[in-house]
Amino acid sequence: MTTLATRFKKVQLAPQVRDILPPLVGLVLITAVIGILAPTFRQWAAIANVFENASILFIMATGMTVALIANCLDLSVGSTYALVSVVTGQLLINQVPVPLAVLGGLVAGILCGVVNGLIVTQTGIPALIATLGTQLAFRGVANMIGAAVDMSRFPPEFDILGSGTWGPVINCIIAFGVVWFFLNKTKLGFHAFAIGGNEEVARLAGIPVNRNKIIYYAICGLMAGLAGIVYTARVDMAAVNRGQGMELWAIAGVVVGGTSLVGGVGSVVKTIIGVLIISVLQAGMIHLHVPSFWQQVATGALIIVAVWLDFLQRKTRA
Amino acid sequence: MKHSRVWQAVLACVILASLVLSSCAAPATPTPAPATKAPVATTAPVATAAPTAANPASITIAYSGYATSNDYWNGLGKAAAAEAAAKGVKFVDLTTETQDASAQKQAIDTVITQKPSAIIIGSVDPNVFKDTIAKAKAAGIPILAADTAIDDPYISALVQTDNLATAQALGDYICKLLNGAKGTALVMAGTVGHQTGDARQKGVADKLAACGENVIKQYGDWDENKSVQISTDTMTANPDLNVIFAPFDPGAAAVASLVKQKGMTSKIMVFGIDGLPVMFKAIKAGDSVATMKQDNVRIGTETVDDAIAILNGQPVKTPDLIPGILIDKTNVGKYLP
Repeated sequence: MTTLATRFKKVQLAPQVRDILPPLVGLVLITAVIGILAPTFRQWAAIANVFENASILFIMATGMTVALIANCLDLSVGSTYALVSVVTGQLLINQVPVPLAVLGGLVAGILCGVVNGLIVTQTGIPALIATLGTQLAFRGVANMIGAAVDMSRFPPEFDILGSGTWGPVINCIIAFGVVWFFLNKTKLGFHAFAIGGNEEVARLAGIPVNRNKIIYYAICGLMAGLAGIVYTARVDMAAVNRGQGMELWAIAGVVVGGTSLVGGVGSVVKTIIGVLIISVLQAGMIHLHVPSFWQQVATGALIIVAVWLDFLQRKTRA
Repeated sequence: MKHSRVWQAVLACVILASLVLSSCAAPATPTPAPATKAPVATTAPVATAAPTAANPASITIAYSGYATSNDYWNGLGKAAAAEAAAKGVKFVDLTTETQDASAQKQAIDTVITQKPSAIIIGSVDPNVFKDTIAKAKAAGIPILAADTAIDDPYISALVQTDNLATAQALGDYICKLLNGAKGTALVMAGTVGHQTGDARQKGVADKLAACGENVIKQYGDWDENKSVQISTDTMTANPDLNVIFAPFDPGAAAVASLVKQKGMTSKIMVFGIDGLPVMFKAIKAGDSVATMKQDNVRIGTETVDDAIAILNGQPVKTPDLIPGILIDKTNVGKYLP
């Protein structure tokens, strides 16, 4: 009995569990309420749809998690997503083998991230402004490559990356694994928390802040690129004007999960929960036959409440 | 520490406000154009201060379309340029690469100082041209509207797709295919308040409701991925779903691809509007049933013809409503490259 109580106490005190508990409870509650009210939501197909529909946002949000933990805000991920989509689409319609086309897309995503990192670290321009500028620039490059070009109906071996439930979910697992390993098992990942917590102290401690920041932006670009590829495969077409506003949803997913907007705190596990909360709510509204206007109101309200609760929790702890 | 929390809260508020605003923002790739607020005249407002029987070589038509990155507008602009070349008049294309209402207005304001013979506008935002029109009027330059109505009495002509009638025609076609079968239909619009998407949704939804379908209305935001997301959830929530309509072809083609992946092509029919190659391929492959092609070539051609007629002092029909063309497996071959 004592052992059990001690174990329970240990679980209660584990900071990792305590950290994810509020958004997790929120996710469970929202899912339960929708499940009770909408019988059609209580089936595997509905749950599979939630994972399927959350996948693209989640992949993008994993990269954003790394960026936000290191206090490297990136507003260009929506444009990177579109750019990678048209780069991959162009390669595919020009008969480039699928693995090379995917690789080309991912390299384009990494390059976008590196450009962001170089601008922020070498010029000292605030990340908000720098990535707002590259948001426009990357969109312009995407237009140059893919405007008014029909890029659709790609080979089945490419479509499988975004088809059905398993294609997107496997890509999510890969994105999660890469980012989790990076943040928890590498020195670079550890440094992200240090840089995000206090950049000057990290610099004085001998951490190569500028070099690391470029790498964090590159990871953010890579994940935006992977999201762009999964999207392209899912809808079986590439178009230049896609991904507008997605950076805000990616940030929302990360923040709703509990990762700090100002760096130093966060985890990719929290991001899973944050993105799922948004996705469950959106799917639930359809199952409940709630009119579209109320869906927007409910999603907006949820984000506000989630961020507010997180804010209160941090205030209490401080 | 305290300051960082305050900044965190401020940044969160900014992002949330942006999210709310972005949900009300302009569509990512709206193809076409509001059908409302069109002038009601049926013939002729001949341009003011128009020269009579102008020599074609002395005519310069300035054209500003929605965006060259948009397939529909790209085709419309090319058709207008081709017609101008065929008629021997100069054609100046001011269209920007992406839709930008402010850049479009600036370009037109600038070209007015160069005194073209006429200006054709395919507007990004039809509500920003009040002073532009005043300047054109002062300079005696007639303005014509292509595809999208501009609510001003000085506009000499409007040539556009009849979105409502086109959608109604598609609705009738779907009812004929249903042949009395009853089920649920998902009928999507574009963004909230976008008149083109609303007209297309209304046209199809009204007809389907009249033939006994249970109609579910949603907003796909002119976004393929969101259209697919809504469709997956609606398919699960409504096992009797038998029709999905997206108000733009890329969205419809993406949904058709999803329906195929789920092995539901024989049960759920997918329809779109636009008439773009991506949908033609889906129809040919049997993944989608039909689309309504907007006759962008005819709109571009007739707008240039109207401009020349006005400059020659001849009457023109306005608004000139161009019907859509139904494309299904029986005629899709004609439109594939």
